[in-house]
Amino acid sequence: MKLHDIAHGRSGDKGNKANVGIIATDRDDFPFLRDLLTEAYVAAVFEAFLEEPGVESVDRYILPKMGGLNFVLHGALDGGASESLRTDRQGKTFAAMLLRQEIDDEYEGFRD
Amino acid sequence: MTVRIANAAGFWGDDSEAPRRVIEHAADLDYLTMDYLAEVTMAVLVRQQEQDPDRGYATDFPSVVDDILAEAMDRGVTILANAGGVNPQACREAVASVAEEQGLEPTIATVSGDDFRDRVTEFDDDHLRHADTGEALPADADVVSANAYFGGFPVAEALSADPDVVITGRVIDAALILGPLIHEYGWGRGEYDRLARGLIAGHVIECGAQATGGNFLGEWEEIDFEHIGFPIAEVEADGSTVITKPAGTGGLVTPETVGEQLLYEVADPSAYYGPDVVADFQHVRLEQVETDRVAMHNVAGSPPTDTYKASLHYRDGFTVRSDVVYANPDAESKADRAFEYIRNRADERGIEYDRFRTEAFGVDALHDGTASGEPEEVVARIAIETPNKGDGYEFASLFANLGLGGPPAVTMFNPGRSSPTPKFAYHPVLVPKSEFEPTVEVTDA
Repeated sequence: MKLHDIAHGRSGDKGNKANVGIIATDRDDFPFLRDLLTEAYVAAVFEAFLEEPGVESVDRYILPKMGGLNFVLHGALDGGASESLRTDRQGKTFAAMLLRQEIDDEYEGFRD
Repeated sequence: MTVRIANAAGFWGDDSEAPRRVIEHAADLDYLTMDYLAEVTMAVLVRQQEQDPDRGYATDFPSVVDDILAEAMDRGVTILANAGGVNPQACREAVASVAEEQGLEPTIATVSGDDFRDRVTEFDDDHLRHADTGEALPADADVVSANAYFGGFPVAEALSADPDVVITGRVIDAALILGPLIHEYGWGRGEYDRLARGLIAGHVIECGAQATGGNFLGEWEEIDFEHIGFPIAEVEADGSTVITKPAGTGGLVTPETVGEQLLYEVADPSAYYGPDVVADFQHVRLEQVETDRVAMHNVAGSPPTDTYKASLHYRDGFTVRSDVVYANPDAESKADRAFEYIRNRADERGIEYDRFRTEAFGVDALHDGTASGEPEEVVARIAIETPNKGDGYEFASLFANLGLGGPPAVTMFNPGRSSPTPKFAYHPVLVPKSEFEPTVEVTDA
């Protein structure tokens, strides 16, 4: 299974920073997401996009009452929308990239 | 009393039928807003104004007004848009002109004073440091546009003249929603919780259909995108907000769709900065109160800073982008060979470029390629940044060579030759509010 099976989200830009908002589809899965999706986990997923790969380039914010996590990825957009030579200049597909991660092993037993 | 504000455009070029769809389907609407300005739009508008002094605004807006003004005036729906860009007065003239042709005489208010491109050099170097990196504005920067982001209060001041249409320059997108609330409820500058709720209501609906099921990464399969309803914020005097959409339209308003938009382009949810207030929605709770109606709870506010965020853009060379398509088998290898070919030929010709970026579309263009197997086809996309337009044209001319003289099984993705596009460096700063005086003008057509 993928993260997408238990969560959804949206991503966008602010200058050279991308943000990725992730929301638990079922609130009961939020503790799992909160435990799994650390700054280090997200930094590893987006390693190829970060100017300075590593946990220091990711900030995480928790929105407990809506079951949401917000990640800010610093230096992740090739200079930002007006600078970038990428097709996805605003990180609009970053949420999909995080949500495609396989979580079979991590999720096993969580809801038992 | 409830104030109902709809937003019918999230960017310049958004669904041209949306304003009419909103006004036809939304009963008891008080305000209809449209957002036209992305960051780089201001630089593009300055270039248009340099070529024609009567341009520099979102030219789609007068035709939208033409389409809906009669019904809006008849029903008492006030239209607000940041369509003024860098020339709100020219936009006002264009709107007055289309109204006159219909025999309508709207009162039109403009909000300006945000534009400081002519006095950038008067600001201290420290006020022109990049807000994120701290880097100074380059001494030789050819600044094209400079605009401070005003908040809801100048928009509210414009509304005090009871206009039919309000046209602004650069304001935060949510100011078009917050302004009417300040006006209707008489919120003071110190009522931070209320201002924060209005700001967040605006934040949720400012991107149009992204709040009502557009771009929804949850269960999107059943959504009627073709007739998607644009969002409405229904706001009470204390700032309590319900997000909804016009009856009889497509789309979906649930805690999931609203929640995704709430997190869009946000950093710290406990400190969401606006010019009028700093909003805290870290503990926001979203509640489905009826079908397609979502209430937002637990939004609070605190005092704003003494600076406006402002955007500067300066000329910064050109970009050129071109695509060719390679078919299976070995599509990726062929694309890699094409990348090599273009780089070698460019280097042999002495074409100057500062950056050279390749993307194998279908393999690793959007993500990092770790999820892909052997693709059926690959778009080889190549972009450069060059300081010289001539080199840009020369670079663009290379791609046709691949048609007959490169790796096999190729077809062009876009017909024709691409052109160098001027590039503008984005340089956000924080400027003292004391340096600005928002200007409201009201004219009767």
